[in-house]
Amino acid sequence: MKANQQNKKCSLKDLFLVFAKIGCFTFGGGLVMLPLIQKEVVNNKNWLSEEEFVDLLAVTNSAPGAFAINTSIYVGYSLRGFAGAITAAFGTVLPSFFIILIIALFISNFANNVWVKKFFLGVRPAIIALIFCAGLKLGKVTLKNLFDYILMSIALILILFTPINAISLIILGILTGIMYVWLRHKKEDNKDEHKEVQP
Amino acid sequence: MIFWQIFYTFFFIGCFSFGGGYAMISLIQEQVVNVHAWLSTQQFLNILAIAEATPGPLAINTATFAGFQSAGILGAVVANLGLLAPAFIIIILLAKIVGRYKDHTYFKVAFKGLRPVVVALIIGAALTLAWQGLSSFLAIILTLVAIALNLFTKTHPILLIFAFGILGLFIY
Repeated sequence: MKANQQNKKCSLKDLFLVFAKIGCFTFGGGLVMLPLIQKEVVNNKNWLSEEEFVDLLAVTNSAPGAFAINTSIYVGYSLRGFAGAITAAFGTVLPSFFIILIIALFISNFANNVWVKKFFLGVRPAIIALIFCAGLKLGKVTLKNLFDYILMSIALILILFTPINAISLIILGILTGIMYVWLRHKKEDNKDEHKEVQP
Repeated sequence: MIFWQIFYTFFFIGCFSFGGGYAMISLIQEQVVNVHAWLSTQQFLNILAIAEATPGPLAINTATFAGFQSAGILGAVVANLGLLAPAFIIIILLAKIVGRYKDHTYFKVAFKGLRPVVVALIIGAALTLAWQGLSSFLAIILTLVAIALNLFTKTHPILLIFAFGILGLFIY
């Protein structure tokens, strides 16, 4: 944490440029921003640790609204306070805002253009791979014991085979975590009692 | 006044759309097409196609387009501000709470169960997209190649996206 505090020095200009860059290239919706934010903010710039990033995602995932916007606001806020939040959010929004305006003003039928379609057919496998790998990388860092892996697998099965939504799943995770820690404490307490009784 | 209507419509959407950009779409459609009739269904479908084919969060793209169609450039600005305002309020409030109680035992315990779920949400999203979006054998191979490139080389994600897009121009 202390080492990280040191790395958290970033200018608002840096913050804006990083998120504008991410905002320019995230074809396929906000979720694609996730691997890019991870790459830039965690790996390249060292502004946040992998753990801080996961905790932050837990919050931005359970809040209403667009995931990418929430994430950029939170990252900006934790780095540079309120000004950072505004800077990161505008960095994320402005590129798409201008691109959409240009398309709305000048290019009719953009989405039906055959070359645009071909480009996106090619992009799709790449973004699926990137999101998948972002999950894998976060998992590698944050899943620490058998309990974590089991909970992750159960959650994944629920996501894939039931219509459960993100908030229910997040609440379920919190409750399971509390139960796990509580049960473990109880077990340790029992052990301690035995030790005291035996001699 | 139309600008005020646009602002509070998107503010409302920003407040109540749990589940990310895709969950927002149905709310936006309901408000913009059914309630206010700023757009026809056909116009809305066109916007969706464009929003998906341009970079950026889907919700922002759709709001920009819908705002623009109904009240010009200022409409687009107002729609975005409406969408951003609740996100600012909610996220900064949550960030303050997390920041204050981060080292509290209850919070640590809560995050213990949260982290695996977040990992599952992300991997699950990728698998769901793959299930819906990869319709050919070629696309599956391309996905595996992209995974290998991402895991075993230092290729930047942006480069990967563009390289695959350009590849798409030639092979499809």
